[in-house]
Amino acid sequence: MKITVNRYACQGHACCHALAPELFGLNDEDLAVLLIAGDIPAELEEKARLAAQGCPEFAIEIIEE
Amino acid sequence: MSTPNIMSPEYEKDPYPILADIRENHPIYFQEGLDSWVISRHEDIKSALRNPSFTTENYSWQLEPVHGRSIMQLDGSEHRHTRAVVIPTLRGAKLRENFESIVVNNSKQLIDAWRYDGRVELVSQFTQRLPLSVIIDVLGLDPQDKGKFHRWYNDIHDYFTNTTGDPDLTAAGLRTHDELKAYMMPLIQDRKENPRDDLISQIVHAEINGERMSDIDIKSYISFLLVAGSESTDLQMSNMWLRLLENPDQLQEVREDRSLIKTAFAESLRHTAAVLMIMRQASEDVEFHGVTVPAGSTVTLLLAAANRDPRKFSEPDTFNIFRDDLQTDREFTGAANHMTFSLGRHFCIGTYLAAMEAETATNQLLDAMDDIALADGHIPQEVGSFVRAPRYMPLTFTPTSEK
Repeated sequence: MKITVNRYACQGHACCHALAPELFGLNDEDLAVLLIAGDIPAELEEKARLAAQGCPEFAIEIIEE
Repeated sequence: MSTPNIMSPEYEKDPYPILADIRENHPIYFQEGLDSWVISRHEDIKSALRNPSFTTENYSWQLEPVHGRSIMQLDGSEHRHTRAVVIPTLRGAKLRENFESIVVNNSKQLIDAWRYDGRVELVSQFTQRLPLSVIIDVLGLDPQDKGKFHRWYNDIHDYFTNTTGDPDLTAAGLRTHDELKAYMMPLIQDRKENPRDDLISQIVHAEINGERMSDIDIKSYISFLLVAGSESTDLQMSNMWLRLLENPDQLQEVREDRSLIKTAFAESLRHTAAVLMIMRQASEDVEFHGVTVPAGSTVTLLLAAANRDPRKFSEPDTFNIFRDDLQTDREFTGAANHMTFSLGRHFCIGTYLAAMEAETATNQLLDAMDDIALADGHIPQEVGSFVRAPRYMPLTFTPTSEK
């Protein structure tokens, strides 16, 4: 599984960070930053899906492989 | 089957049977008088909020007369940059650090005024005061002027809930536009020259694409934050308290396990949303259930109907903080089951602040009061068609020794 964040869609609601702090941090403007490049560890896949579901702007895309 | 009517006195008295009829039997219809199409099913509202063809152009006539052009009307990168100015304060990692003491102090001050009385009118002596006092402190407005802000707050509330078209209420609401402007302009000038550690100074000195906002845009921004940051929290806290008072078993559970306060607040957002509906404008033709909503028309999204959609929730009319599908932390994000915070670009910016205020304040209220009950024989009446909450809630209680 991979994750992409559409930085033009992100409005800084920080829901991803609240739901999956292991995967998403906030930059100095409090916009979402992905903390893991490349493949998401299996134990975090469920959290990744939750964060994608929890993004009000639909800015997080999950790419299942 | 007669066409439903959300402008009727029956609706104002008890909207939920009418909302259910609309959702089950008229999933898309045109509301005369409101001049708007109406949708109500959970799935339809979610899809509308995801659909970029629905814009917030409607706020040019809904909000602009009072607040001026506000962030609710912005789109794209302008919205993102304007919003980014307040994000660190309202949603960032430092929210609790920035606000908790402000909430605790304001809440304590309000409770201290009546904590040994054994009776309180919870709306005028608490819920209506707390969120406004908090946002005044956060913005950095003069607490001495609280009375003035309270009057503007009430006039603006009455303006937006004036469904009968009372000309005095309309005039009072529009007057706040000029009064707020006269109050804010010198203040904005002052913060330009003497910045302080407050949200107004942050807005005044923020650069958006390398430019500062105009004074009039700053004024609109503050005006909008002042109301958006207080009214909905006031109403939603009132709704939560009413539901808990009607369900003493659940109130007792919350008293014993304070982590349930946030859960109760989340369930109130679903069961008794303070904001019953929001509007959007279609920028192109959109179809619902075989009916075409033409480009340019207004669509009303009945959030409160979606929140009780039996396709989504089991026993939707029951207030139950222990319902299976309630996952508290999700309910304040875009993964919420309820629709009350909306979705998309204009998803409520204040969800974490509201949750923190409700949690902190409810903790303090429970600490100050034992045996809380509605005053003898009083059944609070929920009022409002667009936004709705009880506006008079007299309670009796046994004072506790101060903690």
